[in-house]
Amino acid sequence: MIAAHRRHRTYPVILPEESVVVAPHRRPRRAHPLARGLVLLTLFGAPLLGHVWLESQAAQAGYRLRALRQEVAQLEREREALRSQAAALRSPDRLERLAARWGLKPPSPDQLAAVVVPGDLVSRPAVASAPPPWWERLARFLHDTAAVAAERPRP
Amino acid sequence: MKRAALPPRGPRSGAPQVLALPRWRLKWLAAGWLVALATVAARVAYLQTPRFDHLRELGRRQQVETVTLSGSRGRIYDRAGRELASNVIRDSVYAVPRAIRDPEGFARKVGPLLGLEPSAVVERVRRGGYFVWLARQVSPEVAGRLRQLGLEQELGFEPEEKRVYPFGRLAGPVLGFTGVDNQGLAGLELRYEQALRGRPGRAIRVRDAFGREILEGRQVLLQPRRGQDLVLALDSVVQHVAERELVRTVEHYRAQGGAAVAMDVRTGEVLALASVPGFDPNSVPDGTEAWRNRALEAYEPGSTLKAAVLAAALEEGVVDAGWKVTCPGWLRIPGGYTVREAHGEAHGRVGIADVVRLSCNVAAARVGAELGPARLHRYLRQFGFGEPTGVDLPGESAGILRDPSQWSGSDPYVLAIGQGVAVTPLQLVRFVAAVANGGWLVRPRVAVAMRDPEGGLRRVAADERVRVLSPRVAHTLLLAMERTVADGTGTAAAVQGYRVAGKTGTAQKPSPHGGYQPGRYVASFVGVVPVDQPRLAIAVVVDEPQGAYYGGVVAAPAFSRIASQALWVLGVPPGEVAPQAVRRPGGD
Repeated sequence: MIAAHRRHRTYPVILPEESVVVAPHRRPRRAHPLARGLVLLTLFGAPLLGHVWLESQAAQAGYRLRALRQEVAQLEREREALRSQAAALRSPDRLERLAARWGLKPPSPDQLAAVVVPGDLVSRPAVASAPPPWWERLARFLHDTAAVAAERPRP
Repeated sequence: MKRAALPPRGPRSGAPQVLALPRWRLKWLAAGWLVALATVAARVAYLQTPRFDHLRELGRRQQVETVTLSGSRGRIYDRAGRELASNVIRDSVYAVPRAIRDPEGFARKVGPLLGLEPSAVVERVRRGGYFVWLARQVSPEVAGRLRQLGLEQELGFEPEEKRVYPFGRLAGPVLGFTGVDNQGLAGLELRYEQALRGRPGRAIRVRDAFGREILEGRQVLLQPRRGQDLVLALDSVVQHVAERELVRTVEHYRAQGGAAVAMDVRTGEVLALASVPGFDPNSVPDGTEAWRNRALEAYEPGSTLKAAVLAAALEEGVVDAGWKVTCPGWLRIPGGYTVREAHGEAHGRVGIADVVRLSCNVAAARVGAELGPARLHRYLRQFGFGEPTGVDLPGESAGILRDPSQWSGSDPYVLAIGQGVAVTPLQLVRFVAAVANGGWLVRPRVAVAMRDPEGGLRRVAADERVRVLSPRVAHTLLLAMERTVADGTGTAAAVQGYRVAGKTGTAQKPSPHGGYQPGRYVASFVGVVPVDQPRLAIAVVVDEPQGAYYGGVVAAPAFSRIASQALWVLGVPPGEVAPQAVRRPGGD
């Protein structure tokens, strides 16, 4: 095989003076048992503590919710009582007594007049008004739509 | 690993020593621990094996309980949407006997506030246990004062729904009332119990060590459902007018009681149904006597039944417009009895209109005799007498209409004048409504619709009506009854501006031992207004009035006052000018 002979050239170099020091074999330093315990405690205990804390918060929220529910029940109770009182205030017997106290009395027949109104007049507005401007109609439409949406029961 | 040497201690110090206890101490310590552990283990084993079920049940009872969620009772409204019956939440009070160390002292504090004798409280507390009712549904004031006593461990409060009637006595016998557990016991509350009563729900409630509910543990097993609301045909204002005028009449004549019914002649809707004496369903009196609804009770009607007898005779062609009979003031009938006129007067020649206008007993008896038992019975039954009207109220009497096979020879005569038969005011007003509406017998109804919790409205029942009179006969009879008010025995029933038709009635009260009770009468008036476009049929019945006892004197004026005000309320305009009423002392 014919090949070019590889030529080597040597150049002088100055090596550093320090000798190579082989580091002695060191055993990996083990953490202090207390530190290890703390780490373990942190690793396992923290989630537990967190869980307990969350449970406690949930329970506290439950108590607050319970208090609010009691408040709602109390308010509903008051509403029913007020509703009943309002109905009692409208009783015919009471209104009649009040009317008598204020000097009101039933009308005599000659104080009554029957006005016969034809059916088409009943269904027609007495005074025809001009149609509202477009911006007013738009505002009414938007307002009505919002009102309907607000009253719609939520799922 | 090498142990660290301890500092020298004791007299033998000098050489490093390892901590060591005397072996006998270690043995005792170990033994002590073992004994303690063994004791705990034994206790655990004991609790977990033989007593496990009992303790588990005990714990479950302390922490978990199944509670009933109230399904609200439906409300009752009148035809205008006024609330006649609703619900409020009230506290019921219970004691925890186990927590009470001094029952006498406890009773002295609690009893007076609850209106209970201390001895009664002590007796309940001595029963022991964890729960005993002291009072149900107390007022908020009482509950507040009890809370201020600071007996948290000994006293408990449970919220409960209480039925209330905002209008008090108004329509008490119609509405009825509920028991302490909100179940209907009388009136509409009983009749519509199934619809009004909500469906109670069930839930599991978990409590913590302090007895507070843990919401996370709550489970609703069955959702409660609110009862349906009831919408009545009754109008509160007309009802009030009817009750006020009836009370006024009963008090004026010092009567035992009375009834008034106002019905829409077209539909059978009962606008007012008054019974005196009534009661306040908010505080129901003891005893069933006070709960009576006299509008549904039968009484011997007397002359008001003559209109029905005349209707039957006209329908059968037994009499016609030209029919005339002579009234000498009395008539001898089979069985040796004699039918007499109320005032003993002879009416002379009378026609069909006079049978009701003058309330002629002789003419009515003759009409009854000519009809005969079979036809008379058939028509009276057809007109709704002798059987319940089917009104939606409990406790309705059917009245008394004996089978013709049990009739004696005199019965057609005496039945024709309203004796030997018993009817209810509701039956009478129903018949008169048929006369007014052209011959249709309608089914009276107090409730018209039910509304479910979602707001859906549905009718309670379809209109029911049966033709019992031809329009011609109904019209003829209506005009004859108008003569009663125009110039007959019922002139006091006239209403200014409206044409009124009606019939008076005065009946002696039958004795339980046979015969009649002297001096004891039932005065009544039943009529229709306005005649030209009939709208209202009204019956007024007064039991044992004192001083005066004729229906035309006692009941007809009450009819007039009720009718005039009810027409205003209902907005019925005056029609044609009423025939001139000739006022004279009322007769039968």
